[in-house]
Amino acid sequence: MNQGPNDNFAMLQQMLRRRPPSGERCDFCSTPVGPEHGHLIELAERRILCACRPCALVFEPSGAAQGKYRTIPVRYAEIEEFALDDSAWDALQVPIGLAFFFYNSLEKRTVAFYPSPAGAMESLLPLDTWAEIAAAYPAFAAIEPDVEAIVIQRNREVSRAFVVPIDSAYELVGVIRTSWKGFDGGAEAHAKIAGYFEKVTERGRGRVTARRT
Amino acid sequence: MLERVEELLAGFDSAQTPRRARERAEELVRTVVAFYGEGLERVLTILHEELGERSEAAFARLCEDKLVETLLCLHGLHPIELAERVDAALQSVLPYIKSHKGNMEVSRIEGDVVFLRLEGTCDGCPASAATLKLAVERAILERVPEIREVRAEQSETAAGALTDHNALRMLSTA
Repeated sequence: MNQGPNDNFAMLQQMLRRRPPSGERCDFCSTPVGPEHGHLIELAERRILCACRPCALVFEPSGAAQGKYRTIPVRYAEIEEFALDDSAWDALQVPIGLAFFFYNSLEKRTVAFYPSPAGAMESLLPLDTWAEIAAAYPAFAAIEPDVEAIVIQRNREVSRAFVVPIDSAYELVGVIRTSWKGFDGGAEAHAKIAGYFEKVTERGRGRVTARRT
Repeated sequence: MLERVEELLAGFDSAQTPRRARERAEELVRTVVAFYGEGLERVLTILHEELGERSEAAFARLCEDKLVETLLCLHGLHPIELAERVDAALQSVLPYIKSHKGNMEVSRIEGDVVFLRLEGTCDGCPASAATLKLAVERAILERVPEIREVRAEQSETAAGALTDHNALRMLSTA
């Protein structure tokens, strides 16, 4: 059709009428992906990207795309008989009863984050403290750099740790960021955190536990 | 709605391909415009509640402003029905057509296309095709943003005479 005076109006109107694509999509090729889809991490930005199976496979070989992306594995495992005394926990300088740790290969060090209402906060992790804990739990040292994390929940009632994919750790951050209220978080935040750990426990069940002593 | 905008802005950086970026951009525009549309609708509702009988005059004034009118059309909030507006636009050029003893009236509106029934001397006259495109379509498109094209409804006597092709030929020889 020739360019008419109302074509721009029509274009905008059509765009507004177009139904937003429902559900999540692959960040590479835009194909719709189901609720259970894979993720890649863009290392330099530490950004998590949704990927359909074919796109995820493209970047799976090490060195693909100059190592810009890494495929995030799907491994959940509870670390058996996890116990951390107060002094060890305090030394980690995490103000709440939750934290996650992963090895950052670009910075060549283990980093610790704790979720806060403002997002993930980095704790200035004393390296020797981490080395001591990692020595006691070989599973800690066996996680894949950048793409797997150790999530620790520790309070008066529980003391437990899980190996989770890094996107799952960020999911926990998201849960807290959107539901945390006031000083102690409130009932909704605590219910959601409990829900997160139930799901992680469920996924870790039936798998080989990460403890190898 | 604003949370969705925040989400989309945050997700913008995740788009790894131009296609994905475009989709995100479109959704962002869609969300922001819908946000404004919702606001506009509420403003009109409040105005209507406050002004009562006087709201009709106020809405008419709003529609005198082309930009405001276009916005109202975009969000489907124009106080006057589409058919009524198309007809009013046609009336504005009708005196000229009637001076040639012709007549046109709106037969139907399909999406963004208006179909006109040609009567009197217009019916079957090849020149009416040019008038249609030059004067009538222009008047309607100018006043009704939702319309993109005006066509003559084919009458039995003039089948084929009023196609766009013939209209263009008329224009090029005029």
